[in-house]
This record gives sequence, structure tokens and C-alpha cells, in this order.
Amino acid sequence: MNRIDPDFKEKLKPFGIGNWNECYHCGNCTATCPHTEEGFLFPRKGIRAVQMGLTESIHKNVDPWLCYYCGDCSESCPRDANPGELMMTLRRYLITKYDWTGFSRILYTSVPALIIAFILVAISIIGIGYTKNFNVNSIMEFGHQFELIAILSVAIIILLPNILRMLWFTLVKEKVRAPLLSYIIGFGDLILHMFTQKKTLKCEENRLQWFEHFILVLGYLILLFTTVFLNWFGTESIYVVFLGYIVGAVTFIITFLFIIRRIRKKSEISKYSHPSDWLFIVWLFLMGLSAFLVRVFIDLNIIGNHLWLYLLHLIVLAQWAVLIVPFGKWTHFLYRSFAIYIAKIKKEVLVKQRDKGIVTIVT
Amino acid sequence: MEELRIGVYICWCGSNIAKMIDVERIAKEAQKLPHVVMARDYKYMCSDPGQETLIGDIKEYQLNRVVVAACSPRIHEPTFRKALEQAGLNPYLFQMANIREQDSWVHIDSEYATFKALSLIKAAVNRVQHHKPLEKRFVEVNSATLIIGGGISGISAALEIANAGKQVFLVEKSDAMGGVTAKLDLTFPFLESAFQMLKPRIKQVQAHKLIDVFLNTTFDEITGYVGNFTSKIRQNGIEKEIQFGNIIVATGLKPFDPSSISEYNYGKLPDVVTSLEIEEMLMHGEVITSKKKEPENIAIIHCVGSRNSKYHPYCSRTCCSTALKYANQLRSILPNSNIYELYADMRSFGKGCEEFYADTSRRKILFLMFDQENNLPKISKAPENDNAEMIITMHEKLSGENIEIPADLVILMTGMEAQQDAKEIARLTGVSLCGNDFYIEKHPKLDPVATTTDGVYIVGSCQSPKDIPESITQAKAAAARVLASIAVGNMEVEVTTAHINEEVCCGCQTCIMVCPYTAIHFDEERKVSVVNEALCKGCGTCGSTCPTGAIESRHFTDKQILSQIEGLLKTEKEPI
Repeated sequence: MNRIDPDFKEKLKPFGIGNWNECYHCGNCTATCPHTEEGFLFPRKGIRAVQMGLTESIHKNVDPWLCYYCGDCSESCPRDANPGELMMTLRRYLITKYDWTGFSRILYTSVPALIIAFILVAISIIGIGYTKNFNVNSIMEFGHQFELIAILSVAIIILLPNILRMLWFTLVKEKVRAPLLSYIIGFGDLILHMFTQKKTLKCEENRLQWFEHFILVLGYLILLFTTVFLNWFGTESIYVVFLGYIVGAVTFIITFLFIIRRIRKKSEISKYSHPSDWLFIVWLFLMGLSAFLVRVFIDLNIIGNHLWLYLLHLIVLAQWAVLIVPFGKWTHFLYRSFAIYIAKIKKEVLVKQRDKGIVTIVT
Repeated sequence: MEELRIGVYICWCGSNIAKMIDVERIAKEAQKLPHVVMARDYKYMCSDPGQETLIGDIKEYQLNRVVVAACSPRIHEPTFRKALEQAGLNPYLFQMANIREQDSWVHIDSEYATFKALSLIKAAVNRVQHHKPLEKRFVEVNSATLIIGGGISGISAALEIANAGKQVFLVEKSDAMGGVTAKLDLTFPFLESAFQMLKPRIKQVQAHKLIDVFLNTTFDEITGYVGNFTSKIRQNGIEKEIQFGNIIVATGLKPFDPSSISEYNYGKLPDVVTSLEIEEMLMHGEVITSKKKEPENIAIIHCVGSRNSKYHPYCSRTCCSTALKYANQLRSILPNSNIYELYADMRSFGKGCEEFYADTSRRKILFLMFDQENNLPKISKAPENDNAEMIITMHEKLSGENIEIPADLVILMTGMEAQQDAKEIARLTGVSLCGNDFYIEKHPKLDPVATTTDGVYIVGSCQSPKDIPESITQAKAAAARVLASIAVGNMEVEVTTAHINEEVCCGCQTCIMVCPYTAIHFDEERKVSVVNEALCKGCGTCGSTCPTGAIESRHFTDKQILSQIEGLLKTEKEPI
């Protein structure tokens, strides 16, 4: 049985702003939401779960990951309870819940801890630079190797176990029993969504945003591939250099637009920014820009005299790779895709149970 | 005997009647009936020109009987009677044929509807020939008033009447005044002290020269009729007689006993308390559990005994706002506690109450919704290792989840029921009871304080669950009605009463048993039944039961009714 926890609202406060107690369950948000489906009711049910502190159902639900924050619900809310931001808040909370190290929780809830962690990473990089006598070539070689090692170790030590934890909370613990084939076929959707985010298109407001996000993801992934596997900073190939320039520019231009939007606060999606949101886009912007400039300096052959630029790039990159990717907002890339996978399996099971008359699906 | 001159008037009622019934044809047919001097159809008989036509005709054609075929007599019989009076004709020389509710509104075949209308008119014409003039009667009104019940309603009515300079007898069965209000700490929604509000009013009542308070007092009998009642009351074993002209019944309510609801374990779990029990704790300023600890988790359960077909189907109306009041008070006394309101529907209506709900909901109170008809929450003792004393399990409707609530103190918002002696008081005063034993008012909308017995008024929660302002409003309304009747000094009583022919009466007393108004008594000396015409409503029940035919209901004599039936059957079987 689900025990209520009236203090849960307080626990959720560091993760976002919301007047969730204002909600009187008219259901407007659920009615306007283009993602509402039989059996998956949100955001109203999410708000109710938060009001009552039903932690078990919050942990087992992937609903927050199925929301793309078009903001229709918040706009139609007669009580200004801000359901859209609630879904965002729950996503932040769930990121910390899935993280087995608990480090994510510290970074999400404490700004001082966040600053200390970022400073420590910066000092380490400068320290490494010192041990290499600030020699351009050896530092750049280290940087190249670091990228590969960081990606692999973060993936194996942090991300993989966290995904398994997500599956544990939402499928295994819930005793969802679906045929093996559904688990396999579901992966198709997972990959498709991971690289296209096509579900976002259901939110009509978000068409332009989807396109921007889509080329940003594409740019970011190609930039990653170009620097790590094609050794962009070391390559002689004109094609690779050119490709790198394009994707680098895409990364910092789009993120720049996103930053401007968050400053202006005009749309629902950019109204409320948690420190984790700022870190994510600002660092992505800095990474794209610094990578772009490093390559410019290489091509102008002045990087030797401007080692600071590469060190700066490396610091941004390291902070990104060891803090934001494993413990920060970057993880939404994985969780959203897996949520679609999990939701599909759950829905199949639910529909089957309904057809057999075991459960009734309430809409 | 004078020559019969009957006027027949057929109303169109706009198109209500005319669209289904051929009124012009009927008027022509009616003209041919015996003794009918004048037959007309008119667009709106009840309108001023309609009535003027009627009055003019009576004078011009010396009509001495009138039939109006229109709507229900419940609506316009008084209108046309008044018109007859204005024309100098006794108002009882009139008969109405209902061709709207009983004809045009309920039929779809115009031919048959017209045929039926004519039949109804023939019946009325036949009947009205046997009508006799009846004279209005009045009775004197005793200016003293009996008020039964010394709660907030009774006190308010007593003060209102006594302050107007009239005598009041206030009879209370318990040993103190104040009723349930005296057991309350604060009132909703403004959190004022009930005691501070009540105490000065009780003092005023006690000190008032014109109010005689009888505590610990019961009734042996109440006899008489409007304006002239007599009662034998018994105080501490001593019988006393009082006389008065009006009665205000303000017997109040009884709190529902929740021990019958097995889910709540009231009486078995020491920390499950009723609303009146928590009021007492709040009055003493100390809310603690049976283990003398401050409760960490407090659950307030709404609709206890209300809105559930197993207990009471009705809403007790005050519990929601009272529950909000507890939440507020407890939040102030125990700022760190968790407070849960388990409600079915929040009904915090009334001035200031919705705002009160909104304010309360911002004070860290968790509202949880349950199904009060099919799925009540269950309270059980918590296992030893649990932090809380009790666990409440329930299906929460807004989330659709089965949940578990920890609780150290549970407050049951017990509803209101009718007093145990409601039936007894009803019998004494001649008031009717509804299915839930609350008293029935004369009209649910137009006359909510009077009863079908003239001179008897009902106020406060004995009529239906009420809060304090509603009870006081009703009390003062009843007081105004009583004072109005005293001011007039006499009262018109029903003239269409029953009359017993003492020579035919065999003294079987069947009529006494069936009379719903206790208007007939038996004269032991002459061995005959006697009708108290001030109490009789002319319902005719006695007349139809009387085995010897000794009872005649005025205006509903056998002759009148039989001739009406004859008239109805006179018409040809087929449509005209």
C-alpha cells in the first residue's frame, strides 16, 4: 500500500517552482495535453501524487519523461498551479532518484556543492597541465585520450547502472510482464526517438523548437564523433575540419538562442530555469564555442601562443563530461528515450489486461 | 328556491389550453347546458380584464353560480373566489374545471381533449348547482406563545417575541439552556466564540419579565387550536397548566452515534473521537491522545452518518465547515502536526465559507477524497513498530490510488439526526414528520417556518440540519409570524370543515382514529363525536369513513360530489 507523505512537497521544492497545492483537479491540463493517452494521465495525476506524497507511484511512473513542456497545461490552468513546471520538476527529481551514487542529488539541491565540484574539476585540469609543463602537444594529446576514457567510464560506471535502476523502478519492481518480443521491438522506438525526438511534434507549439533541438542533438553528436573518433583538432583532412566547423557552429548558435530565450522568459518552456538548466545550455554553448575557436587558432597556427584557450576548452569539456553528463540534465537524452520504451511496454500490458477484463483503464 | 343562473367561462390560457382544445366550440356547447345563462371563452380569465368581464356578467345577467374552466384550482381558485366576492356573490358559489393540467397539457389528440373538456365542464356545472353559500369564521388569538426547546433557535425566537411585549413560555427538557451551541468552542467561518455569543442571550432570557423558562420540563398534553391552545406541562413531577395562542417548535438535533459504522471502530479505538468530543478538548485548550501525547498525525473524516443510504441519505450541512474550523484550530495549536481532511465532497457553502475553505487549504492541510456511499475509509490499530497509533486505509478518488494514512487522532464529523422524541412532540403539536423524522414545513419554498397545523411553527434543526445563522433566521421569521397573528388579534379559519349530525352519529369513533389533524374528540356525555372546527382542515377523511353517514364535509357534500360524477358521465361516449 502507498503511504502518504505530506512532507514530500517540501522535499521537492529544491527541484523547481510550483504552486501544486493550488490545484483543485479540474483536469484542464490533462484535457489540453496532446500526450494524454488511456492509462497515462498527466499532468493532473502527477500533481495529485505530489500533493499526497505518493513517492512509490512517482518512482514507478515514467509519465514526466513523456512530457515535452509545450506549456499548454500551465497556460490553461485556472489556478496557476503550473502543471508544466511540475513535470519538469519531477524530471529533475527522478534524475536524482535514478542515480545510484547520490551525487546527482547533491548537485541538484545544493548550489555551493555545485560550484565546488566545478572548481575542483577546473583545478585538476590546470594541475594536469602543470604536470605536462603546459606543453601544447602533450596537453592536446592528453585531452584527446581523456575524452575517450571519460565517455567510456561514465557510460559504464554511471549511466548504465542508472538506466538499469530506472528499469528496475518502473518495470521489474512493478512486476510488468510482457512477452519478450515487445521488449525487443520496443528498442526500435527507443533508438528512433533518441535521434529524432519525433514525439515532440505532437506538441503543436513546439514545431520550430523541435527543429532547433533536432539539429542541436545532431550537431552535438557529430561534434562528439568528430573530435573523439576523427581527431578533429589533429586531423589533416579538409572534410573533417569543415564538418567540425559546421557542427561546432551549430552547437553554439542554437544554444545561444536557447540562452536568449531563457533570459527573455516569454514562453512557458523558458520561464522557469533551475541551475541545472542554465548549466546545461551554457556549458554546451561554451563547449561548442571553445572547440570552434580552438580549431580556428590551430588553423591560424597561433594555438601554441594561446594555450589558455585550449586549457579553457578542456576545463569546460571535463566539467561537462564528468559532472553534467553523468549527474546533470544531459541524462534526459537517455531517460526520455527509455521512458518511451517503458511506456510502450506498460501500455501493451495494460491494454491486454483491460481486454481480459482484469483492469479498467480510467481516463 | 331562487332560479339558477349559471355563467361558464372557458380560459384559453394563451395557447396552453387553446392549442389543444377547441375553446370556441366548447363555449357554444356549454351555452346549451341547463341553467347556463352565459358562456364565454377568453384569452386569460385570470387577467384583470378577464376578471372584470366575470364581475360585469354577474351583475348584468344576475348570475348566481359561476364555473371557470381553466388551470388547476390550486393556482387560481382564490383569484376567482375574490372576483365573485367583489361582484357581491358568496365565493363558494363557484366551481373550477381543470382543463389545463388534467387535459390540454397531458393529451395529444385535440378531438378527445375537447371532448374531455366538455365533460369536465358539464360535471362542474352539475356540481355548482348544489353549492351553498358558506360564511367566513374567525377565532381570537391568545397573545402568549409556547416555545419548545431552549437552544439557540428557541432563545432567539423567545427574545424576539418577548421584546415585542408579548408573553413567552420557554419549555426545555434538559436542565440548561443553550442546546448544542453551548457545547461548541468556536463557530465557523469567523472563529468567534460560541460561548461569548450565547451566554448574554441566555442571561437576557432568564432576566426577561415576559419569558417564563421551564427547565427539566415535559408535556403531558397539548390541546386546542390556533389562537387558543392549552397545555399541561410537568416540571420535576409537578403538573401545571399554561395557555397560549401559538407554538414554536425548536427541539433541535441529536448528534449521530458513529458506533454503528464498523469501519471507524468508534468506541473500540480510544483515539477515534466525535466532533462534539473534540469541541470539548478544544474548549479546554488541550488536544492530546489517550496516551497523553500530542498527536502528530490528525485525520478528520467527513460525512460520518450522512449521505450514505445505510445511515442517513441527507447532508448534515454544517460538518464540512466545522471540519475546516478544526483544521484551522489544530493547525494553530499544533503547528507541526500533519492534518488530513478525508472528505467526500467539500460543501463549505454560505457567506464567508468558501473563502474559509480557500484559506484553510493554504495552511498545510492535505485533502483526501473518498467515496462516502460505497467505499468508506477503514481505521485500524497500527502495528507495534509503526510511528503512528492508527492506520487509515482508503481509496483516494482524485489519484485513483489505495493509500495508507498514519493517524494518532481521528475526528469523526458526526452528522445531525432528529431528536429521539421527535415523534412524540409531533403527535402533541400536530406536526408531520418526513422520512428522516425531521418536521415538515407547510411549503418547502414559500412557507418554510409554518406547518400544516395553523399556529404551529418549526424552527432550527428540528426541521432539517442547520447552522447557527440559519436557525436564528428561521426563529426570527417564526417570531414575526406569531407577532403578526397577535397583532391582528383574530384568525380566519377554514370554512369547508366537517360537520357531524349528532342525531345520526352512533359514537363508533372511527372518525377520531382517521383524523390527521386530531380535530375530532368524543363527547362522553352525549356519546357522539364532535369536530373542533378551528382544527379541521376539511380533508374529508372522516366523512368518507363514517359508517352511518353522519359526517358531512362542507363544500364536499355527498350530493355535490355525486352530481359532479353524474355530470361527468352525462356526455356522449364519442367525441362531439
